[in-house]
Amino acid sequence: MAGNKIKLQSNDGDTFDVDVEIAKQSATIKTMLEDLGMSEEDDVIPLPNVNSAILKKVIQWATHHKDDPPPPEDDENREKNLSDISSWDQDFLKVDQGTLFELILAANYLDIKGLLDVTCKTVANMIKGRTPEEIRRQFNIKNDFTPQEEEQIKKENEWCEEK
Amino acid sequence: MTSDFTQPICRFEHLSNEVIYEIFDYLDFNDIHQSFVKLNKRFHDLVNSLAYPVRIDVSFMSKSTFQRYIGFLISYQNRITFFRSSSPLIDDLLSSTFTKMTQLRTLILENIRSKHLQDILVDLPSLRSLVIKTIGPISSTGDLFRQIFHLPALKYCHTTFPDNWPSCRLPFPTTNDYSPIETLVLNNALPMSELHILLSYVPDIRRLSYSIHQWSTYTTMQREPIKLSNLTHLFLHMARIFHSQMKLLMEQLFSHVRVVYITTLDSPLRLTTNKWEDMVISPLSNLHALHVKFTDDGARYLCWRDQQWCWTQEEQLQSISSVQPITQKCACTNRCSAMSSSYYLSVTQLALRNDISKIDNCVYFPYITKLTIFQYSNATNHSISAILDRIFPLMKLTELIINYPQFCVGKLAELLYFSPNVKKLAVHSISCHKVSSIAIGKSATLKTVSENSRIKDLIIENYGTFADIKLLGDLCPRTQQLTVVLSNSNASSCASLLTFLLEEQKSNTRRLCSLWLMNVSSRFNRILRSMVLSPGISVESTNDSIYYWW
Repeated sequence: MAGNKIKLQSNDGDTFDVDVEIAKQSATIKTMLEDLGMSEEDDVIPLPNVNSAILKKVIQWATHHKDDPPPPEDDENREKNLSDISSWDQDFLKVDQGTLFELILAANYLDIKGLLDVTCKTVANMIKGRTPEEIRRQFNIKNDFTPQEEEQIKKENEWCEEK
Repeated sequence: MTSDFTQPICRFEHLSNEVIYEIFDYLDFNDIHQSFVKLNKRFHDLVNSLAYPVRIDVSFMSKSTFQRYIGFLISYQNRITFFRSSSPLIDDLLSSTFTKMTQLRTLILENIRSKHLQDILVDLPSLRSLVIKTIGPISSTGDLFRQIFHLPALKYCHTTFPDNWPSCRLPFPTTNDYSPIETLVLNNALPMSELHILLSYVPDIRRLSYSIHQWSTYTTMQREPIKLSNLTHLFLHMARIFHSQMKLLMEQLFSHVRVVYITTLDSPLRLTTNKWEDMVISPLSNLHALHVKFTDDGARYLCWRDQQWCWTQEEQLQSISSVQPITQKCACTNRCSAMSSSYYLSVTQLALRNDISKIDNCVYFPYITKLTIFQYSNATNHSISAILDRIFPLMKLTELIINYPQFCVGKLAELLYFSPNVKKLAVHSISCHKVSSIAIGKSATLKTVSENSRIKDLIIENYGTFADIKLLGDLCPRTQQLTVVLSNSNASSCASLLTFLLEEQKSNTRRLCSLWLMNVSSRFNRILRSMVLSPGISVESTNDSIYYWW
């Protein structure tokens, strides 16, 4: 760590100089720095679950949101809103599906609540109101039910079929 | 995002179950069920996993959808952790289901007929949070409270009963009657003589909100003080304050309280700081802070903290104020000490009034979701939306209450244009000068508002004309529940309104599935009930309201 910067290393070997305060939006990195006693002498923080391209995107997101207020506490009674994605985030997340899902995995691993929320919302918006067949097509998901299993599930759920 | 992607490196199926559940949190369980149960084996098992909590909200659901939903509810009843309803007509269908909701943690029942509560609040071993707002007569509030107090895991209880609810007549509790409730919100007048007994049932209480309507009865009771040693936060709402009774109340019931919030219609001129010291500060030896909000003429705050008094009369604070007590603290810190920005993070509801051009741009409330607008003036060239967007993100607003008579529909449209996530809109009345449904079709702004509107719950506090409703219907075409408060002068035109809404489903009312008519006179109630409606429309009426559901 030099000055107020730390080095983050992706799983493909690239390193990124990042402001400590920006990096601390990741609860995982914050814990490494504060609780695990990592100090200025430590050269780099390795992030074995994040590749270079995704880490670059994550840093871009965290830099843009560095002055955001801390996210509100989770409240199980609070209705989660699907649509309040800022226009900057909407533009930021205009990426291919692979990148979007890798961002979700990275946000989950790095424990960046704001990024995880906005990426999950984006995927939820892609799912809402779709039929199973549409979701299969959209996400390239294979139907692995046998015809017998499919018939059985159909029978179990007859009550909720649209009439 | 391109739609013609080819086999991305990372796919939806690579997400962990934990992340899939995070995504599910943003979707209605019915949608999740419809989309994922038949998708493949993994997702079938995920949806049906006992580890996945089922959250159900049937508010604003159409009758036919709800009837299909019943089978769904029965299938998943032992996994439901959250249930919310706002229709008075579903309780008949649901009463028996609640006895199997063994995992239910949160139950919100608005507009429920009280007679059904006795069947519902029987066997809910996991219930931690209960919000009930009843309609119609209550035979025995005492029995109802005893049922609530017997819920073994209940920590939060919020009750709203009709104004004319009968006395509790609760007996003093035995040890077996004690409730684990820690937060109790009594949203109606409970005689103070009965408050004493009622609080005896909740020895673990930490926070109490209570409306005082009957001062006189308390002083005559001469009861022994009860020890509520965990009660630290007290919220009182009262019209007028009586010095001696207030002091007695503090001494006998609230001696351990550390923070007191009071909202009153009383005059700040009558209640000097000396009086507050005698009736509240002296009796409460642990008191850290007292916040008083005078609501008689705008909002004014009196704050006692760190042994010091301060009044907030700055014009800015009269322009914006919080509905929540916490901002009284925040507002006071402007004068008392250095302001802490963290206070603003906890504020979710704001009220706006008076001269809004004086609003200080330095304050910011990032988590405001509810805004109430009273009559205001604006001497600047900036629009109300531009001024508001500088102090909180209009994008996050989900509830907009406009308590400004004859609010210009153009301004309303502009506010909604910048607040596309509003789901509940209440307007006192609107001024449609020079604006019509045809204009909505032609104006780009109004058209955008109409196309993007997410408003499900529309409330018109003062029904003006039939045209107003049609105009608001055009502006909010996704409305599912419409509430209209009538007055005698417009009762006659209500029949045509009813015909329009119930019988002539137009494109802009096609999602409408429930209608509340409030403040209906008994004579007009009879007339409305005698109207022949489609057989699919269910009707429920109380003393002064009629509810239609289809």
